[in-house]
This record gives sequence, C-alpha cells and structure tokens, in this order.
Amino acid sequence: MHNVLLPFVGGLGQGVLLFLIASGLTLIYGVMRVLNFSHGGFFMLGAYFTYTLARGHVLPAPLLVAVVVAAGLLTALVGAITERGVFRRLYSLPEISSLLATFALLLVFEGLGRLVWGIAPLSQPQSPAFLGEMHLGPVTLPSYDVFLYVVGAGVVVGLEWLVEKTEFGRMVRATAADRQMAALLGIDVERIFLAMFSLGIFLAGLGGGLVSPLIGLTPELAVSFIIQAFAIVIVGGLGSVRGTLLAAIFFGLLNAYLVALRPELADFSLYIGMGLFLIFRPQGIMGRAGSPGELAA
Amino acid sequence: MSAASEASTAGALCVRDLVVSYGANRAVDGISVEVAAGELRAVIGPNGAGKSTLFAAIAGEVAPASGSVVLDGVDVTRWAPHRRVRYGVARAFQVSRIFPTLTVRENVLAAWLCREGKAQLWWRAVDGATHARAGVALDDVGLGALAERRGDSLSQGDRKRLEIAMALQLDARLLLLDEPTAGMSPKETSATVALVESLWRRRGLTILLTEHDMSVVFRLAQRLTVMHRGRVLCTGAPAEIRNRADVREIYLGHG
Amino acid sequence: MRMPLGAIVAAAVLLALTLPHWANGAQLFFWETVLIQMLYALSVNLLIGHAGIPSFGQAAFFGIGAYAVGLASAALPPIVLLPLAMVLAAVAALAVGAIALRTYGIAFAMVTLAVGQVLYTATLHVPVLGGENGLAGIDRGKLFGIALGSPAAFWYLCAACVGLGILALRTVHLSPFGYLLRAMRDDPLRTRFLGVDIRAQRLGAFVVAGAFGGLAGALFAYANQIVTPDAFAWVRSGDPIIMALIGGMSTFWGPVVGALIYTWVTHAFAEVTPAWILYVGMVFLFFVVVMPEGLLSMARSLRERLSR
Repeated sequence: MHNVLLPFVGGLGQGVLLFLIASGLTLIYGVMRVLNFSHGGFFMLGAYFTYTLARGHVLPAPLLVAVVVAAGLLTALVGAITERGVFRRLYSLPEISSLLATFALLLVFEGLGRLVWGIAPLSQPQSPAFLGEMHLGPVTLPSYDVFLYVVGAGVVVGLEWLVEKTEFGRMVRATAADRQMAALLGIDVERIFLAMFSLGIFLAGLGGGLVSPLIGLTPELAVSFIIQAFAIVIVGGLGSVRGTLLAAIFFGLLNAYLVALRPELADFSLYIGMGLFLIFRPQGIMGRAGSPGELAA
Repeated sequence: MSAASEASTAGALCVRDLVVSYGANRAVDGISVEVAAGELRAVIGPNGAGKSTLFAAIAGEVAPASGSVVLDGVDVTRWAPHRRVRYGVARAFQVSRIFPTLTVRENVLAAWLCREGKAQLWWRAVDGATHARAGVALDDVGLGALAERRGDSLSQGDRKRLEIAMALQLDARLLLLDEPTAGMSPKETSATVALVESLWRRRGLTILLTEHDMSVVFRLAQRLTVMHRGRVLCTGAPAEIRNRADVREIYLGHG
Repeated sequence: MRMPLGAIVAAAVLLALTLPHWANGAQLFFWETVLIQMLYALSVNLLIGHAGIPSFGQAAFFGIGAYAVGLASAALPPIVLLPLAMVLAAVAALAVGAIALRTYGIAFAMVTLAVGQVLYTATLHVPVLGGENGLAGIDRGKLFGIALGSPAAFWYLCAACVGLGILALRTVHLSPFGYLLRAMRDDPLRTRFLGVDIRAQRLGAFVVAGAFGGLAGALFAYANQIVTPDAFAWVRSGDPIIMALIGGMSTFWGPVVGALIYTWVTHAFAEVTPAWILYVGMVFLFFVVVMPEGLLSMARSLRERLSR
C-alpha cells in the first residue's frame, strides 16, 4: 500500500511546482494572447533571487518562506519593467512574432543568469524544518511536500476568487474576451495587462523560489522548466487555469510513478503524456488546438 | 448580344425552391431563379434580402435546407465548394480576398496553378511561359503595370480587378460578383463597370452580381431580379423593373 | 534582386573554389559551419517563413541526419550516407508531421519543440547512441577514390552539397508547390477555396524541410567528426529561426545572409564572454520588435521606395 502511495505524495508536490510556473503562463496567454517563452527566465530569476537574498545560508522555515515571497515580488518587479519595456509592444503582433520575441527574451535572461551568477551550479540549502516528516494518521508525509500542497491550494483558491469573484476579475475577464470592447467600456486595459502580467510573473518567481532548495541552480533552469510548462499548458488547454492545474498534477504524478515503476522511462514522462494527449485529445483537457484560420496569424 | 469568343458559352444556372435557414431565420425562403447561359444578371434588394446567402448557396459555402442548384443541367446542390470551383463556379468576395504578401502576378499565378492541379508539384520551377501567361491575364484586366507590386499595396478598385482576374484563371463559366464596386471611388467604380462589361462581352461568361449602386446595375445588367425578405419579388428588364410600383415601394423609395 | 544575384552566386562559387588555397584548417572549418547553417536556416525558413508553419523542433531532423552519419560512417561512404540521412529525416518528418500537423499555431510550435526534446533525451538514454559523449571518430571515408580526411577535400564536398541543396530549395521555392505554400500562408481559407488540399500542402512542406534539415545535420557530423546530443538540443531549433529572421523570412536568400551574420557574430562573442547568449538575445529581440522584416526585405523596400 505504501509503495503505491509514496510516488503519489511526491508527484503531487511536483505537480504543485509545475502548476506555479504553468499557471502564470496560462494567465498571461489567456488575457494578453502572448505565449511567453521567457517565463522560464523569470522562474530562473526567482530561484536565483532566493539564493542571493538567503546568501546561500540555512534559514529557519518562516524566514525561508519570507525570502521566497520576497524573491517572487522582486521577480514580479522585473516582470513589470519588462512588460512596460518589451511586452506591450508585442500585443499587436501576430502570435508567432510575439513567440519569437519572448524566445529572444529567454536568451537574454539566460545570458543575464550567466553574467550575474555564473555557470557553475549554486545550491540553496533546505530549512531543517522542511526536511522533516509529518504524520497524518497512518500516512507519513515529507513536510515540504505538505507545505507545497498548502501553497498550491492557496494559489488555486486565490486565483479563482480573484478572477471569478472580484470587480478586478470581472474587468480581467472582459479584457480577455475582447480588449477593444473592454477599452470602450472604460476599462484601463493597459493597467489590467500590467497587473496580470506581474501576477503571472510573481507565480513564476514564487515557483523558482520554492524549487531553489531542491535542485542545483544554473542558468539552464530557464530553459528546462519552460518546456515542461509549455507541455502542461498545451495539455491543459491554453488560457484555462483549472485545466492547467489538472495537467500539472497529471504530469507530476505520471513522472513520480514512472520514476518508481519504470525508471528508464522517467525522463520521457513529459513527452509520453503530451503524445497521448495529442493523439487522443488534441484540443487539450479544456481548450482548443487552434484552427486552420490561425495559420496566417 | 454577347458573342462568345474564347471561353465556354455554357453557364446556365437554375436555382429552384431554395431554402437556407440560419436557426429560425429563413435567410433564403424558397427562391427560384433561372439565368440563361451568357446572361449578365443583377440581383438587387435591400439589406437583409438574402442576396449574399443566395450567392453563398450557389458557391457551396452554405448548405440549403431544401431546393436545388443546377448548373448546365447538373445538380450541384450537394457539392463541396472546391468541386464547384473546378466545375466552373468562380466567386469574387465583397471584401476582396487576395494574397496580401504575394505580388500581383503571383496572385494570378497561384489561381492558375490551382486550376491546373499542380499544388503538389515541387520538383520543377514554374516556367517562363506560365509567368508570361499570368502577365497576359493581368493585362486583360488592366493590371499589367502593377504586376510586381505586393497585393496589399493595391487600391480597392485594383484589388477587385485582381480578384476578378484570379476568378477568370479558374476557367469560370459562372462568375459570382458580390458587390463588385463596394467601397470604391466614382472613378474606380466606372473603371470596374467597364472591366466587367468588357470581360462579359469578350468571354461569354454568365455573370451574376449583387450591387447597391443602382447606376451600376442599370448600366450593366440585362435583367434584374429583385429580392425581398428571402423571396423573389420580380424579375425583368431594367426599364420594366424601374417602373414597378412595388419595387419602388420596398427598394428604390428607400434608396 | 534579379540583377546582382548572378554576380553574387558567381563570386560565391569562385570563393568556394579558391578558399582552401588561402585559408587554414580552422578557417575552413568555420566556413563549413557557415555553409551548413545556411542550408539549415533555409530549410527552417521554408516552413516558418514561407509555409507559415511555426516549427520549433527542426533540430529533430538535423539530429537524425547527424546521428545517421555517426552510426554508419564506418560502414557506408558519404555518397550513400548523405542521401540516406536525407531519406531517414524525411521519413521521420512524415511520421511526426502526420500527427503534429493536427494542431496549428503555437500549439504546433510547442509540440514540435517537444519532439526535439524527446530525441534529445533519447540520445542520453539509448546506449548505442553514446549518451552524453555522443559518437566520436566519424570516418569521412572516400569519394571517387579521394580520401576526405584532408580539410581541403572535405571542404569541396561540403560546399558542393550545400550548393546543390540551396539549388534544390530554390527550385522548390519557385515551383508551383512553393508559390501555393506562400499563398496558403497568406490566406489558408482562400487557398482551400481555390481547390488546394491544405493538409497535404503542409505535410509536404514539413517533409521537404525535414529532408534538408537532415542533410545539414549529416554534413555537420562529417565536418565535426563527432556527434553529440547537442545536435538535438532545442537551441539548435531556435538558432536557424534567428538567422532567418535577421536576414528576412519573407525572402528566399534572407536565411543565407542571416546565417552568415549570426554564425560570425556568435563566434566572435563566444570567444569574449560566456554571456554571449545575452547579446544574441538582445540583437534577436531588436529584429523581432523593430525590424521584423529582416535585412533583405528592408533593403528591398528601401530600393522600391527610391525607385518610385
């Protein structure tokens, strides 16, 4: 019984991390129609900011959490500056041009990473409290995974509330549906864009911060995570937060179970999942695969 | 009347009891229209009369709920659009749809290559004769001088000319012109009218057109069909139609 | 473009013929790389620039060509292996395209990116492909009795292959298929209405691009005499897009110009700083946002404006 559950525990935590990056990606696409290649770059920044703020020291859990949040905010600030400087020029371009532009930005971020933090891996130690385990009845859970579940649930509930229940969310939905109409209705579309972009980037930075105690930090983080995040949003359906959540958990679990049961296939989990979806459900869990009309775009 | 010189003279269209519904709305509500081969017929009527839907049904873009479309004795009601294109139904759109980044010559070339069924021929460059042929086709509609310009640099009037040139590449017997002078200056309008008339005379095409500009209609059309609320009100020679009280009532009175 | 093209081609051929007489081995190798990148960027631009199919996974076919050479160079001479690499890449493109072309736009871009990554990951896991170290000691073999081990001999082979490849792609560009590809990019629905089977058209473009991507990869393997998983790396899918964009995606020769500039600049920057990718990214960004038409298109529209 335990052997079956163990990958589930870790896979779910991994799914939460994937969700944090992918949700920002899908939010930004949903509102601004820009698929942000450079999202992985912001994720990398979040991880490096955490390392720099913590100076690579072992921190008690609350402090580490505070540092991660601060890193997320700092990343969001960089995001906001990038939005003003670059992204707002992309909204009127065809999707493919904006994809290329954000691809260029990804290169810029990776280069910045190399310039500032070097190419040698850096490591941010985990807080001792997060290394422990928690006992919930008969089940033993690593405490960092539990913490990740809480963060993930908080983000999902928070996003749902923000988008569905608030006045701001109403404006966001109107902007996403038809930005010209929204502007005519007196909504400040530029501010909505800036806010949603920063929010999406904050989630990426947060994800990077939360990953930083788990892996070695190199500039290549920018690239390795964006491909996973893309797979998730494609499977989840571009623009759908719920679909993204389901897809992220699906990929997290698929990977964890493959690691446990068929380790030789584990590195392919992403592509196996994506291939299955492509063959059986090309429009994604909750989205669309595009139409021939988009060819010209 | 028009003597057929080059292309096929056929192109007799017979639409019978055609019904096209969009939901509960019957845009075309039991229409019958007969157009003789080589005739130039205008379909007029106020906005929402069902002219564009009728055209779309003839071109095969919308499926009728009932009724039939027969071209030269062949029932094409259930045919896909591209099959009708090959059979000789060509269409110019109300808003010209040309290829914007291709040159004017390449636009015509593309239509011709499609007609020839050469879309998948990749191992041989298009030869000089074919390029020259495209040039001749452009001269034919008065676009020869603009052959190397990009499609999107053309004026509205020239775009329409180009679209007509492309339609002609498809060896049309029946040419559907949806508002050929929409959005044009008076000068462009009169040039387009002259073009349509000269093509019609030289090629012996059957042409069916819709038009809001009554001066164009009366200059071009041999016969008019007046539509109102999805039905045919009457058909007749221009002079005849002009004097009908019911037509004035629903149409000319508002125009 | 008409007038100077003949002169430029003649000069390029002359340069290619005489290069081994005045360039050293390292310089020859650099120019081989430039040529291969030109061919590769042209193959990618056929898809992205002309067919409007945004593939981010062309490295898959580059890598297949490269690994075909890596695996079989001892057994087969280049005259067999180069065409074979093209065929293998084309078959792979047919298989990938048949599934991936069910999607459009950015979904397609992501799927092709993933395909490249699958193969990249596979090279690390399949023992016969040599893992991270790849396959070293590629034998260039002989052609018509001439050993290709010498830099000069291989240079001629490489230049001839790239020259023929460019000629072939130019023919495709000017063929009915090529014209209708660009028509489809402009307005797919209109093209469909002209009676063109868009699915077949897209798949055809994907296969042709895959074949020439495979040829570029095979030449790359021969030139380096080693093939590593880098052949499948996703940057290898991104680089030719940058090149095509710099030169001008809507033109035929744009990727050739772009490949020359890009290879030169990255080479120069990489010697100076490990953060060269930063500067490449900034230049690329400049082109996408400020000059998306690329250098050649800019030159053309400038000339048109002056002559009007």
